[in-house]
Amino acid sequence: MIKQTKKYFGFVFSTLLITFTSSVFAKNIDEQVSSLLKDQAALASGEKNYGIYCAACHKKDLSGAVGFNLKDSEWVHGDSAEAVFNNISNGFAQAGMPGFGTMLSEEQRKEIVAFIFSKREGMANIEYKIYQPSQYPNYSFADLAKATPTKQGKSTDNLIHFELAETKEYAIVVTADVYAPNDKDAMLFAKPGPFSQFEVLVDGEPVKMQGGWDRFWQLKKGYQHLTFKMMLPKAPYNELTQTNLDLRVMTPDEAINFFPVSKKAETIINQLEFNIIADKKVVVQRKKVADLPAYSISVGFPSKLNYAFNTKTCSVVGVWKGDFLNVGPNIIERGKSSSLPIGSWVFKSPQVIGSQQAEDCLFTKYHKTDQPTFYFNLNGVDLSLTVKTVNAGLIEFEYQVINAHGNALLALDLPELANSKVAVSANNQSIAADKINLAKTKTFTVTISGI
Amino acid sequence: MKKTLLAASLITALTPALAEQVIPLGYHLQTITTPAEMEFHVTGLDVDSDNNIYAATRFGDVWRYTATGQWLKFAEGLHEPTGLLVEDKQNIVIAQKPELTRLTDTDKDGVADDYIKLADGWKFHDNYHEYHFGPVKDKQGNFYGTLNLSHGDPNAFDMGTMGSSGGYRGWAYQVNTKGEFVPYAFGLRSPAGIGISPDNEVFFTDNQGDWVATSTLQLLQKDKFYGHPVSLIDHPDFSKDKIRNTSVEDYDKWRQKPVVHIPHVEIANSPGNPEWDTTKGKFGPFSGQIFVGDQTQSNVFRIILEEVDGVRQGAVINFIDGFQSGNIRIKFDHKGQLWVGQTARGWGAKGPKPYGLQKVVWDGTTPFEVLDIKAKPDGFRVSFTQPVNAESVNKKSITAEQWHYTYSANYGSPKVDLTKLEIKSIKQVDAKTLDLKLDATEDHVVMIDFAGVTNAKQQHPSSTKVYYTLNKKPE
Repeated sequence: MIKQTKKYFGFVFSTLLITFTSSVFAKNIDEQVSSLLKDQAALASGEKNYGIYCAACHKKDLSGAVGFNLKDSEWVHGDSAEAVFNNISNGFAQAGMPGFGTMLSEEQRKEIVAFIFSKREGMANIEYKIYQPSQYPNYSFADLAKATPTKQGKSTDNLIHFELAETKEYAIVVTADVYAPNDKDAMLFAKPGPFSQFEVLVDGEPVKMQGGWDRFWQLKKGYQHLTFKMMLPKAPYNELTQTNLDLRVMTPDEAINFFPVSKKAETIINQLEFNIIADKKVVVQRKKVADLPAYSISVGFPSKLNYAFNTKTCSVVGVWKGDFLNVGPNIIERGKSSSLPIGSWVFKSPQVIGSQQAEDCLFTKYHKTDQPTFYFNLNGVDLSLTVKTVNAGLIEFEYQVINAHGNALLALDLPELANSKVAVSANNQSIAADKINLAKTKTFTVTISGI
Repeated sequence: MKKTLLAASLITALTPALAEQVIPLGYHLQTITTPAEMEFHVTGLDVDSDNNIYAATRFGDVWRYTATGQWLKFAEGLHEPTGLLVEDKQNIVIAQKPELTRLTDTDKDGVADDYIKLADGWKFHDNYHEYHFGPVKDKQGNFYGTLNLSHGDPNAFDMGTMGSSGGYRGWAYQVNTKGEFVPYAFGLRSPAGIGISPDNEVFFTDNQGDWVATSTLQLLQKDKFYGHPVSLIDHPDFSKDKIRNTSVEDYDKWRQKPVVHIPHVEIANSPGNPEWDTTKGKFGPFSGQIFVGDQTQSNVFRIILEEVDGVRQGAVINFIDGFQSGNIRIKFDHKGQLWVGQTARGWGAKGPKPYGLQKVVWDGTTPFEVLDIKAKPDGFRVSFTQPVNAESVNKKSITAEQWHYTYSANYGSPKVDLTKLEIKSIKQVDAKTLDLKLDATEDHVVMIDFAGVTNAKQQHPSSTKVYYTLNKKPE
């Protein structure tokens, strides 16, 4: 994945200056954007204009390309609604971003800010208080209410730095704003080792701690206010107890890291990159891949198109454009997390190229050559699938009927794509996907063009 | 005996772990250089008829190591294989997480081109802990493998720790000669090692944890229950409620008792595959015995089996420790050298390296070691590899104790009712053999320590403690 290095400190200064000189206006903008966040029509309008004016540089999913990632915790030019509004309005000429102040109305710009904020993921406004054992003689969080922290402050990088405690034994109370994904279940995950105590509140309400070795707490979707309390056990304690905590937000099955919460987690997540690139020849990898079902086999082409074949449904369960796979999360430590496709999806499961009777499929083998071929049986018919890519805009799925008996009709599901064309043909003639007569049609091809 | 002292006695006292390596005289470790810049966690090992070594890596590759020391990649892109079996030079069978797969080199260019599904009759849910161990092949041509339970899968049925989302997790399977997947036995937890004896019997090891008091060696038998109830969600006679409501006592009566308990930490935490010494003496005096590596302890230990009135049991004894990483796969080659495949990723190992490949080579020197132990109605008969010094044999030079374990959902069991055993008498049967009289109890592990026993050169065995699982006393 492309990760931008963010070093525009000069702009941070200028943003702060604007913030300082226009605080009344800022409050208005912040409040207005906050209210637009609850307005579905405004968010839809913001998304539409974002797609037109912003997505080319910041990507449709806000993950960043030429322009910065707009949904993570790093906000180089300030993370208030007012700062983002001003950045959209004025642009950054030196960095190649135009100002949209004259192109878009004030309302349209606020809607874009609201849309960006609705997609935001990460931490903000982190404040911490650190206590030493003499201040909590009963090793209870109740002790902390009366105690004076030995250290307190605000995070400057939207991460919790547990090493700030500097002592082995300590307690910490952190408050922060959390922007969890809006569309996926998320958990706050900690890897503390044994015997540490925790108390977690979301929007003031206690959240039940789950897990055994690893601890986790259910988060709400979208924005929430977090209070996170940790108290290390009395020393000397188990050597597995972690004083510098790995704390992050993940899917409940630990397959996907949404974002780090602590500096240690960021360091670990950044080590998770191990890219396999099909630069000279076709590469086949069988790994756990984010957003693909189990039993998927990924195939990458030097043309920068990639697909995945599933051995349980004998379907093509995804096509993506870009370099092939970052398998790092799947091969580091216990390999709990998924490999990540590099690039962007053309389609992915539940969209498929495959039989509507996929449950009757029996996968046989794949033959690994320059053009890998998958062999399988569907309803008594032996078939093979060979995939070819001519360039990054065209991929062809060529099915061969090896052995068909009787009246074998195949109904093929195809993906519905907004920007690419999907067609089925046999003998250079277009055919219907829902009634392919396998007794007569020995070869047919699904072509996706204009990718 | 060889005890390599690495430090002065004062330092030794402070850092006992570094003080000495257990390694019998005449045995040496050799480290194999693995391909540069490769994640070479070796989790599958076998040898072909020309003594080429085949290694499967957790990264997903299969490599061939030739007798001339060349590494050649045979296959790639597999899903964390944890077992490999050579059928012949063109056909390698590997156990990868979702599938039992035959890799075939159809054009004989030294690289596999067909990746053929042999079986996938279980369910894999993309959980990291759903390992697939195996295969072994019996003389009839049936394959066997074992299927790990899951861990941390939010959709899984569990009783506290390891779980199953269904599809024969926690089962052993057979793929018969017709190619059919046969669910074979159940109640397994983390059965990381499977092996087949020269007598065509399949054994497996299971790792200590919930419902496994300490790591075990078990004999694989059809339709038997090995103790972990979570796997029963795929058993036709059980529902989740019935699994939860069945008492520990009832499970205890039903389960197969381990053939051998492998004491936690002292011998092993995470044992790998049992490998029989069929080298006919090329590897030294331990012919016919079982060798097993341990991933956590970075050691290799021996298992000595016997059958008493139809009941299997036996002893474990440490063999060599101080390997460079976690030993998960071992295999004898045709020269009688013991290859050791290693990984430490995710669980850690005493050995400092993250992965690697080593081998144990014997130089022909016979060390002074405990060779064999057999249960007797009133004690044990123990033999050594060399004549013992009769003067070193007395009730002070040999000590014994016994304990048992609690079978429960708890994560492992401490030693229960740990008791010292009086050595009532010692009789020297011949130059190398002693009969010990002591009152040991069935269903206990009996540990006998020969710390004071020497040979004529005043050498001690490198490992003095033998742990015998006394399931049945001979009558």
